[in-house]
Amino acid sequence: MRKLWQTRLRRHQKTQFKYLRLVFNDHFVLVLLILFGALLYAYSQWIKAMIIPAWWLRPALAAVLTVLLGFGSFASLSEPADATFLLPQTTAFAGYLFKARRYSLLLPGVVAVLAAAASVPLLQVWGIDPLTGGLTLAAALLLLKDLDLWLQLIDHYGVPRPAWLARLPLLAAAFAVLLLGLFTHPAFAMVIALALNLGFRWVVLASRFEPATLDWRGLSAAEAKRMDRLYRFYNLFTDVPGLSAGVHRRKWLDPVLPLVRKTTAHTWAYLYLRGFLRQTTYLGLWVRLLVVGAVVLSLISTWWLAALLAALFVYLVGFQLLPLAFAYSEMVMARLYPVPASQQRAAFQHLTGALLVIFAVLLTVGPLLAGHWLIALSAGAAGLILAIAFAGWYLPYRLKKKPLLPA
Amino acid sequence: MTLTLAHVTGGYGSLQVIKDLNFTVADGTVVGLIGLNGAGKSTTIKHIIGLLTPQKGTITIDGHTLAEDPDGYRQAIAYVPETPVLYSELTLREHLELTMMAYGLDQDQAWARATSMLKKFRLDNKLDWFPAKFSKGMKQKVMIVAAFMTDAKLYIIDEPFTGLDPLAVHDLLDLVQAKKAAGASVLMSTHILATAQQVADDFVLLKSGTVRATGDLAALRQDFQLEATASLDAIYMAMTEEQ
Repeated sequence: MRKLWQTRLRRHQKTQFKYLRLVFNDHFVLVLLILFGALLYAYSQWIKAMIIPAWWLRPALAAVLTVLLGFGSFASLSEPADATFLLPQTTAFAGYLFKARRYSLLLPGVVAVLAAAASVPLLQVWGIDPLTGGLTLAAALLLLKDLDLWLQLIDHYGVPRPAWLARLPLLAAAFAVLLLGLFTHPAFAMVIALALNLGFRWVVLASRFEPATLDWRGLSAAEAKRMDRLYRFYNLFTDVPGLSAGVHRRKWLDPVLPLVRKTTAHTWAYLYLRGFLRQTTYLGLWVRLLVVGAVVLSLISTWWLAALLAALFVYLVGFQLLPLAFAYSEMVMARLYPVPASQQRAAFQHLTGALLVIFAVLLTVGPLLAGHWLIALSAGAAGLILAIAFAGWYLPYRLKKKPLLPA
Repeated sequence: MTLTLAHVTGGYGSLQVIKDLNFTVADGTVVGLIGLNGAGKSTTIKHIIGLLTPQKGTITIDGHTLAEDPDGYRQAIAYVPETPVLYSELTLREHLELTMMAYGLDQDQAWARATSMLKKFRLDNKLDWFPAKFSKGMKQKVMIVAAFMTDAKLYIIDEPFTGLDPLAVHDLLDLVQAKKAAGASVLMSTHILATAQQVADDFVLLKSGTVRATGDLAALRQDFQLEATASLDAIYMAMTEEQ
């Protein structure tokens, strides 16, 4: 089992690195660095400006930490074929899954430590010692995440346990514990988290865990779902072979469709518009980034930062739309259409331009509702400039590098 | 409309699959493209429709190659692929609409043609469904409707009968005859020899990437020195037994 885990892990890491290299290409890293720097700067300015801490700050931080705690699911790296080939080894397979659980703790652990570090300035505002406070907060988060992953693991086993011993109640409890820790000292949160963790290990794991009761099908289904989520994310940046994009009918969007006239000159526009509206990834992403962007901009009071962020959001959306351009590269019938090849590129450019301009305009709704006229103006202007630059200059450059339909 | 292949050699990358093919599909004829698995039927078709470019030789429709007049060349061809290819996010109605747009068809006339075919194939009540989720036979019917509602001059049908129910096979053969009567040409690759014998005027027999024989049934019988009643099946067996 140990060997099996090691081979699986090595193979998994190899594919992940391959995809991560494609995700974090030079452009994207640059964008992330700027975003990260801007966020850090805004955060530090915000902390400096805070003399009298608001009452809602502690619940808000506890909520943010709880949400971060929810990230990271149990990665079993199991495969559907395991249910057939490893069935006789079910009991021994628990050893494999324990290793998998420990590995799953790695990434959330890093997140927990970073979150604790980011909370330190706020702890100082409340008069908590930064060193002990930060360390104990990190420990509390790690212990809670450890417990969360145990719960996710025993979900796949027939362990007799009360209904409240599940993920959601745990996260609710985590919120309460963290809140208490922020009001007093995070050390208290750490002690309670330790008690919960040990209690679970002694009471549930030691006496009620039956390794033979593994639900193989549930396990591989959960892992398939997790990998699908991961690949869907990668698919935003690069082509993931074998991943079929889901499709939703979204009939309520049909009133938008007549925007493209039904003539030969609009063949590709007809297709791309429907692709954008109905393939699962694109529209959802556009709306999500729009909402997040509008909310973020409504909170910002520096005009140049707002302009920078608006441009960044437009760039991000534009970049995420790129894979749609190649969505039909495998489509034989599309390659036979008697329409000039230039029409396809023009149609995609046109669609991207329109989507980005609408996006940039709608972004300003956030600051407008907050009553920040100057912010809305600068964000809107920056967003529009980037939208036009992206569709008019960057897109043709990108599309020139890779033909839309392979020869 | 005349399709002419002259000394066509081609394949995938450096791999040569078809060698020095010569044959024509004349105006108003149905030509059967016959050969074993791997003889090069689908590769030949891919070269004709322009998915692959010949390494040597020329393929012309009424004297023009794809490179000379890409849009006109493509306009002349309607193609039914071996495996149905459909857009996952388009409804049946939109598939037909898109085809009409791409080929610049008059929407009213094309819909009139399409509707009668859809009725025949019992698809007329599924216009707002996603055909990508249909069964294999129903998908094939969608491809057939999309191809036969155009007014192409050359119909290229790759292995059209697999997955179709017997009724649909009849309906397809009727469509082929109707297009032939209207003056179009049809190139059809198939393994169903009895059907091919019944519907095709001429045959092109492919063997390991080369043309072994061409002509109508009588010419083929003479070529293989078989009696005057020999079926296409017998001719085919005679070809496979040759060294």
